[in-house]
Amino acid sequence: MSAMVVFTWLAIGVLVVGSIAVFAWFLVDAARMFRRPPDT
Amino acid sequence: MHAVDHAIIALYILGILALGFAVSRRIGGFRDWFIAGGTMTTPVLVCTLVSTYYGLDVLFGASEVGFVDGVVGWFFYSRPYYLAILVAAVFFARRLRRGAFLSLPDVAAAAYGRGTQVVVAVASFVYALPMLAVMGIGLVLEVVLGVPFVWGVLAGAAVSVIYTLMGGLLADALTDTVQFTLMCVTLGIAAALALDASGGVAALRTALPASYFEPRGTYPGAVLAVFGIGALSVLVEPAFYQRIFAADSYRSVLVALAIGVVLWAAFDWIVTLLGMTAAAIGLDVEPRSALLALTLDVLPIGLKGLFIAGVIATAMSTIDSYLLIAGGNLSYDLYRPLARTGPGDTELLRLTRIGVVISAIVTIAFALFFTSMVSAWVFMASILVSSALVPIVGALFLRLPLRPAAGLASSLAGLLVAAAVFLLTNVYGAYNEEWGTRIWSVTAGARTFDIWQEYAVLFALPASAGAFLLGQIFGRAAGTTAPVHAMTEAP
Repeated sequence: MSAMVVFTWLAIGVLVVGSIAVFAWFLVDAARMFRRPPDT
Repeated sequence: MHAVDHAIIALYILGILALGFAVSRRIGGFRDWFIAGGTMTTPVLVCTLVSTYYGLDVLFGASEVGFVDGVVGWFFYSRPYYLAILVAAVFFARRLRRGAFLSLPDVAAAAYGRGTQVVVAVASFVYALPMLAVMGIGLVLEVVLGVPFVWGVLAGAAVSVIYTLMGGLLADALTDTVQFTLMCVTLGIAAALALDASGGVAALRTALPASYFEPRGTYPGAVLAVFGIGALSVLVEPAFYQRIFAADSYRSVLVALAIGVVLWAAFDWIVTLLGMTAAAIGLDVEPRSALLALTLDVLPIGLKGLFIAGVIATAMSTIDSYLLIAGGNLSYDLYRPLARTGPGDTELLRLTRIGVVISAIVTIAFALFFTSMVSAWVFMASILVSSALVPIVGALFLRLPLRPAAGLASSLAGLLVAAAVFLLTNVYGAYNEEWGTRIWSVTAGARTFDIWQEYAVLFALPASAGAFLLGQIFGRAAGTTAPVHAMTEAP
């Protein structure tokens, strides 16, 4: 399998899996952030 | 498109507006609204940085280069940006955070005073107007949904303005998380399906000329150098600066930018490859429409709607962030220092919201007026780099008392020389169909020099540096405020 093929599928994996992972990380953070009382 | 696809797109837009409203209830003063109170954590930073910085200019522009020229765009245009981002993360971000700034012109003001602040703010404002994204959203809505271009432009800008006015940077950033995920996931899935349908990477090598796979492509060396120099814009990028100031810690910025580089590299490569795939299968479309045509062809119902929502998300995540920057340039960086009595926090918030609306109106006007935005984008980026890079780098890294004249002279010289090169290439040059840009051929003796409009920074940066030197030598000393490098270095 050529380097270009490997790199391409790696890039697809990063985009799909990586972005979902970051979004999941954000949800955990958001739960913590929104438990903070609003600024007055 | 199927009704399911339309419903998905409508749901996305309503969801984004609802999120903006929810956030607006948590907003206190200007700092809360403009830099989210300095509370942005790593995952939010990743999402907002990646989705803000990448808009339809990348989605359509990079795929256009892939369609016409192959991999050269990724190797010589995109890769220098990754290096510049890492340089910004390691050398700039920590210093910027120590200085307690709120914007890019703030740094210029602290180092050189009001004059340089105004010049950098004007350059930042011109750069920040999201003309390409607004124009792109109009084109997408016209091509995909049949919405007349003017209405598409107005609708796209209006939705972005509404939630930005409500929730400021926090609304921008939180909607960016959804938009980021949509952008990346739909693009990745579309790429997998498109490659599968076209026979994969091996089929590209059979169908396309060898030059498509050459890292240098067929571009002249000077143009490749200019592509690389363009990456310097990252070092004075207003949206980057705003997010650096909005982060909850330096470590969050560092990690977010490192993760961002990986995602940006993947995004660029896939977009380039999709452009090449469209060329390989012989799609008879305009180069900038290649990616859209290819993905709409291969995606099934439902995924098609999601992808279009992802494309709209790509545009809106850029529009909202840069309207906020441009609005802040008008109120915080231009009006506030020039007003007789500085506006209070509530007034500043109100003025910035007005600034956002003004910026949106100017952006819409440009998007409806200009037919070709590629030159406009190169001009905007050149103006920013030419006027801001030298004074800002000097402010952050030079360990000597800075003269106000140095900042003012360097920012003005850079701005004027860049503008002059563009003016000359547009007045005396000709549009070159092969390279898609304006080139001015100048004959000196027996030799002819081709000056591309992209060469503006090659003239403007040396002029800016020279003017800085002269200003430092001949200018008067500043007052008693601490030099910026002292504010930003480690204690």
